[in-house]
Amino acid sequence: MRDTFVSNLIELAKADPKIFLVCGDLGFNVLEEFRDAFPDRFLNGGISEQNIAGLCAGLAKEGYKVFFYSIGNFPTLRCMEQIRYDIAYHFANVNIVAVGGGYAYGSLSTSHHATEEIGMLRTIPNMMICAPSDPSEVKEILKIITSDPSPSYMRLNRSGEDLIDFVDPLEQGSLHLAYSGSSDFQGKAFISNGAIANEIYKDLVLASSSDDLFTLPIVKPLREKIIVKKLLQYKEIIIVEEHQLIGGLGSAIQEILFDYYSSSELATLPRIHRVGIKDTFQSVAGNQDFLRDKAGLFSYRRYI
Amino acid sequence: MKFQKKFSHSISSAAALNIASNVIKMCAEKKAAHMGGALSITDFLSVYYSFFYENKATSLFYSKGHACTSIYATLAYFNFFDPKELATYSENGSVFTSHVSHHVPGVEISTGSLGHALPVASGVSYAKKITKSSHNSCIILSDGELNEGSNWESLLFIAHHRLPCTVIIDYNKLQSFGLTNEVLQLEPLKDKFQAFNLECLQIDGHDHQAIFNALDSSSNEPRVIILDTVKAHPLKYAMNTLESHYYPPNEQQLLEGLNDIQEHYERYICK
Repeated sequence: MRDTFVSNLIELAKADPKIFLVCGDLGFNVLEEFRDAFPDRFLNGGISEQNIAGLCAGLAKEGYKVFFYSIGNFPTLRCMEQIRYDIAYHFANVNIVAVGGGYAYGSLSTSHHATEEIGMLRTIPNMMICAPSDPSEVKEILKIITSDPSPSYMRLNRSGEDLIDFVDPLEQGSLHLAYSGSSDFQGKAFISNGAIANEIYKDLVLASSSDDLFTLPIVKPLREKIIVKKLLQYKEIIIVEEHQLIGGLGSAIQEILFDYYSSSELATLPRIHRVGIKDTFQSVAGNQDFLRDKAGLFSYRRYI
Repeated sequence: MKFQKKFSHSISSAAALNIASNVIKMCAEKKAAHMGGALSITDFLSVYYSFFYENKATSLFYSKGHACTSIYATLAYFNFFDPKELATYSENGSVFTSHVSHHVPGVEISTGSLGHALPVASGVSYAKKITKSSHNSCIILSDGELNEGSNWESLLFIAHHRLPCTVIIDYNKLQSFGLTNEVLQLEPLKDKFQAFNLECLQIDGHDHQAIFNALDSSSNEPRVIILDTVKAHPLKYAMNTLESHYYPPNEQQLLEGLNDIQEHYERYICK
């Protein structure tokens, strides 16, 4: 995902002189090509995320489409107020891109686990929030956020994620059908995003499952009616996220379904199982899969 | 900052008289706080907008968003909008919010949470620099605001990239709940900026000629100008008091205050 992001950003930057990349003193063996190709539109702002978030807003004020790249917590939680006030409130065209979503940098410890940022950023008006599941979604989302003036956040995993052979093209703000095992839509649907969706995809393919899998690569804004219409067809829905259960993907889906149910636009609710991090930190060393397992994220497998 | 116009004490004093009077009237009428810090920066704003403001070549970022009455009154005086609009200040539905709003004509960015304007201004300056536009950003910070770490991150950045920024510190020595030197010692303040490799001047922030001279430089280097100011200047009853951060003037104090302002500035104004 990371390499797809950088190579595609380079391609976009060749055609669009307004694309500007700022990093928070990282990107070794990743960002050199961009830096060397566009020295005037690359800036290492140092280890100072609050300052960088503000200066990105300043660059955007001058007409740049700014990308702020760093690891998980740093361009998000560390500078949350700058994102809210300098970027989102002023509708600055700043696109925050974080590598190391979820437990991707698991062994680097809790400081590097990005497991709350989607929920926190989702509450901020004007923000588009994205968590692609494979390199193809990264490419599509990058096109969207480059042409859309809204401020945005994109969570990446690391590198080496497999391609998902999506059934349908990505539609902005809607569910993206990644795997279709059922012909009559009476079975179960998995909804996920980020790199963990990639794991579910592989499991479903391996099991030749009769269930379906949707990703939700853009968590906000959502085209609610389309989502509700798609989910109406299922009796059981399993939502899986590498994020705290509070505030993330599952919350977003449930909020829509319950609102539609309460306003009588929906007659019945499907049975919803949520798999995510249960209000805990992980404080031991471990790679991504070890920590996912420890946090109970692979418990989605019992529904396959 | 590029020299714009010839200095005239009369012109900037007339501005200051109007702005300071409006500040205390707005605070009194709307029972608003933050009068003290609005008054301490009034002389600087009067000189800056009288002689140095030039659309497109300069941008003023007002970081001490709580002291909004003086920037609103300044922009009104310099015709960014109809001065009558000041009457809506802080009223329900008004764009004149009690911390600075970018929805007010002439305001670059909204501020109110401290430590935000300097990084944003540095981004603007960086963009201007790479496009080789001649431009100077002037950023007004309060002294208490220097407690915020984001300012020091930004100063590192501005100094490293030699951005044409003029950073103004309104050093009135009082912050929300005490003297700056009692809450978090800022001294030696000038040395701190110089240690960051920033040119630094310290001047009397109520002396219009001194402010003019400090701004009147052809240098494109980043600079810090520390203004030694007095909170609630020139109101005799309120100067140098923490109360002036919170309390608006009552009826009697408003009359006295308007009189103090008149007395202070009229000596410079040519009849």
